[in-house]
Amino acid sequence: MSKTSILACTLAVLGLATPLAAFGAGTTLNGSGSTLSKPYQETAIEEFKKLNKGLTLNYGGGGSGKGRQDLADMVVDFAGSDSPYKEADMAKIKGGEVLYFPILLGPITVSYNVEGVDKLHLSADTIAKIFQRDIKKWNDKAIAAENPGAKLPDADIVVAHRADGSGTTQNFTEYLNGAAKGTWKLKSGSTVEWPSDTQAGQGNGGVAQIVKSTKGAIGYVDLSDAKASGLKYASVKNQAGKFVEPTTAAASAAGDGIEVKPNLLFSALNAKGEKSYPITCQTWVIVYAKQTDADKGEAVKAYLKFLVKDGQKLLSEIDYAPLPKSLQDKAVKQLDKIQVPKPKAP
Amino acid sequence: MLGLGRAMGETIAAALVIGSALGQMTLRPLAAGNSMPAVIANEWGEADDLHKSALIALAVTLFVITIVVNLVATGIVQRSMKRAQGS
Amino acid sequence: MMELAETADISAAATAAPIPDLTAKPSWRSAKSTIMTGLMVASVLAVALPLIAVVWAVLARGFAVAFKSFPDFFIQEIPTVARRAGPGMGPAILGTLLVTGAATLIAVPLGVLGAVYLHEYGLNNRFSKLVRFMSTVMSGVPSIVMGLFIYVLWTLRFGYSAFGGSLALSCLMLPVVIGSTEQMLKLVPHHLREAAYALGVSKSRTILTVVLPAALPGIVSGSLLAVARAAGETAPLLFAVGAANEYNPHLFEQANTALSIQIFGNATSSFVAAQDRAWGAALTLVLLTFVITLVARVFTAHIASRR
Repeated sequence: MSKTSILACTLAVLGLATPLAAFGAGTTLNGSGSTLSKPYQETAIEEFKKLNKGLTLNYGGGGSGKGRQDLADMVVDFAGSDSPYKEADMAKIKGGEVLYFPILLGPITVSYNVEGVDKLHLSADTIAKIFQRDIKKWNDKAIAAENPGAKLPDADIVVAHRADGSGTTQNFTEYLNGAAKGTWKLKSGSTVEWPSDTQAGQGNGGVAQIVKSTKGAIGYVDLSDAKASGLKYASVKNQAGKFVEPTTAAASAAGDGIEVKPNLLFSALNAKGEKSYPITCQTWVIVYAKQTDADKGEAVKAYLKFLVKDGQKLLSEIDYAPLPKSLQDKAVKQLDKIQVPKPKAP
Repeated sequence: MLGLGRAMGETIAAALVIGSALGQMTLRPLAAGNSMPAVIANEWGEADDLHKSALIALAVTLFVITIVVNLVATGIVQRSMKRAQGS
Repeated sequence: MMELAETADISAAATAAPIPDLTAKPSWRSAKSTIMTGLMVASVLAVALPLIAVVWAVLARGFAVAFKSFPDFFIQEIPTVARRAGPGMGPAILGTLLVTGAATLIAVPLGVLGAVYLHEYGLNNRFSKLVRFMSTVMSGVPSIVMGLFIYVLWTLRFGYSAFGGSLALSCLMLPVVIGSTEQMLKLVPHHLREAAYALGVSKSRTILTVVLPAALPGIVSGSLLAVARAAGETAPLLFAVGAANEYNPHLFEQANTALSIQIFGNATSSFVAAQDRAWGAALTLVLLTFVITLVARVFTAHIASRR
């Protein structure tokens, strides 16, 4: 009897829920992937939905690798990814050719928690030595040499890094690979074998939390999360020899003068230019060139156009840098390559 | 045994707090460590092809270890039941 | 003659000897008893304290968020932009109910029927031993592996949907239901069954009308354990259900969301607004599990009293 009652109750709940089906009728677009671009996707989705009522847009995050996998399996309509498909994975993409649309430039800060030190200057070599635990104390000679006049305490450095696989880790370690050649021994990748006396956090938020709550901590956090947690961040020496603060302007400066390949792939790390912030990374939205559904195809095209053009002005509010104008134009032009099938005759 | 099975397979709770230390095995309980489900959960999102295969191999290893532990536990239970029944 | 003498001796002895002291003497046995009692109390505290601490933490941080302007938090949609403050876990609550409800509908009947076979029909034959063993092993599979399994089996073919999540959760619930139901069936005294057989009732009818009702409170407890575990599972849902911020009452179509997914996503965010919503969602999940447990127990008590 009671099982029947429980059954009845469950069915009643499901039945009551059905009238709510009036919400969200119409096309639904699903995306997943990079968590670096998640704040931008969220803001853009909100604005875009105001202009297109009746459209449902979901962006699930989950990591660039998951996004690329989901798109290859055609489970989502667009993927956010901090890096392109590897050669070996290209064969597994079910839907044919893919197009890369860059959407933003994001500075990765080196955030720290040291009382009394408000401005910290670091070069790539010093950062590499700190993160691989060659330098263990804040008042080490190398740090003091780059910061004359700063009162560095005789305290241990606590290194914080990502516990989960991450495009941010990949970009940060690629930067160190390139800028601190010879010093950086841990190579690059979405996961890295950090030394054992370091701490790990989940997501940018997790690392930010460790830095915020541990005295003497240092970690790599993207600008958006660092600002949200109220962290102090270091000025990093760029290729031109200047120490630059991680701001959206400096990230945009890194964007000018990058080499962009015809398929819109590029790297903004370690950019040339006096005002460039050297640890600037980039992220793309990947879609299929050949769309299979008329409604979804149109929606994808419209959303991408919003992301690379009208939505760019939303970026500085959330502490990311817009693409340089030339790149925006190239991206808009690449939209023409998306083929949408004709809608079925009514 | 149900409890042990759930604890060995606990994914997200371990992933959040276990510290995800790679490459250094340590027996100190207070040092950062790792657990198989936590590794799978943390690294799946950004894994490329070879990495994913490695993670799935890790899952198979966990499965085998679970089977072995359960075999041993079932054996112990049956032996003690036999003794209790005095057959 | 001898008896009279013995009685006289006994009564003489009784008046002569002092009353024996029957109070416990300090000895190793009584000390052991005290130590064991102390250890038992310590164990209970060791188990109860974390539970109290968790409930306290969730209440302290989630109460203000979840109950500010009462139904808002439970009804409004999830804000698209994570950094924006404001209520709304409505879609997640509906998602959890849908996914867990469907999983229960799949796992509980299958599990109970399976346990009935194992205990009443299969007994100790080879097949039953194999099923029992595999069931225990399945309870040890990491939830994320189950999620990957369902990803390959369901999501790749049909896309993200709440039903995929239900499949994954029912795989996780099944061993718990089978194990606990079988234990409960073992506890039903044999004479109940024998009495029914003596009355000429067929085996299947006996099970349906005598054995299952007798074991019902235990079966419900076991199923509740399974439901509570399923409601809190995060990893498999990430692979099968996807993400959504709006209400999605469809079980088979389109991505959905659930409280556990939202808690996981928001808890690691740097934005205080998102963290607050995570605590509110955690409190909601705890309350939901509590309500489900309460309702089920009330039903069971009702049934028990009617018999």
